[in-house]
Amino acid sequence: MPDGLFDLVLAILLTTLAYGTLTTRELFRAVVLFIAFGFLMALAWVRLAAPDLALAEAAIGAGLTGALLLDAARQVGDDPSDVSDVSDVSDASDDRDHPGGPA
Amino acid sequence: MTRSARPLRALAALASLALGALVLYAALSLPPAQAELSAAVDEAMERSGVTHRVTAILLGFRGWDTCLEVTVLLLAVLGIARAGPASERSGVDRADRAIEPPLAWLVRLAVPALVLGAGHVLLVGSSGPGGAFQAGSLLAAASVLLILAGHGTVQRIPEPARRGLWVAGVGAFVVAGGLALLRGRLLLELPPATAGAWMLGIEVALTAAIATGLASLFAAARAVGGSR
Repeated sequence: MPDGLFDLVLAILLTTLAYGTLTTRELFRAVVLFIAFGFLMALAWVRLAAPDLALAEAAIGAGLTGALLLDAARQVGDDPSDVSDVSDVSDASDDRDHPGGPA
Repeated sequence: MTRSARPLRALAALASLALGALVLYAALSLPPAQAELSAAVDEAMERSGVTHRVTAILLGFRGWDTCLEVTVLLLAVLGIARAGPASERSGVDRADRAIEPPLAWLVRLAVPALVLGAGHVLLVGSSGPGGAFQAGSLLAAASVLLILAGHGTVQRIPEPARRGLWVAGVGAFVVAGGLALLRGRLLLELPPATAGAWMLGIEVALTAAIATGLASLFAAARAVGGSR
């Protein structure tokens, strides 16, 4: 039963990604894990025979929310009072989106 | 992690476990299947004006729920618009900066496909999986790509028209509900003969509201980021 195996792997991956998203200390990595979680969640909706929900999950849950969170992570990362791995966040976004912002 | 945060963490863990147990209990105590509800939907499908059950429920039988959903989105957009900077044009103003070739390439490739796909899922919603929420979110995704590439979408719409688009979804429900009341029907009760056309009209308005609303959320966030 390859279907059952697929679902099992999907469930394990979703749980692992959710745990990783919540526990990672680097903001950028947490957002990337969240986006990956959203896409796998969309796959789960496909497996549950709900392609419309899958489409909405991929577009809103992973795409739009992910883009908003990336923006937020970049701005929080700019904040010097933020003590969590600032270097990693600023490395990842690297100010490519706002030349006028702080370097 | 400071030492004083430890009791707080234990408390949070305890609260999470309690909530989890509550949700598990609620899920396990649900009745096995709502066969009678499913049968009721099947029975009423003929009068719904569409052939897809989900669309019939979202816009016909439970239109009130959908109306409240888009109201929530409208409130979020209005709240962020009030809290945001006066100018949302910064996403457009930065169009002169260099755009990485992969992003430019992705925009050219994905945006037409996303717009076409949005039109398809909007129209196919009456007979298959799809509808306003999917079409709106696809359009919003295309809009996000365009904003990322510095082109701007919702920022180019004049302010009054943009506000009109934001309220289009709730407005469509108000018109449909108001007309129903005036004609002596129940609130949001669509006339069976023209229910399909009504639903398509509401879906078009919903798509416009959801797409501009979600895109405005993203544009507002970018505008704040650009002002720093």
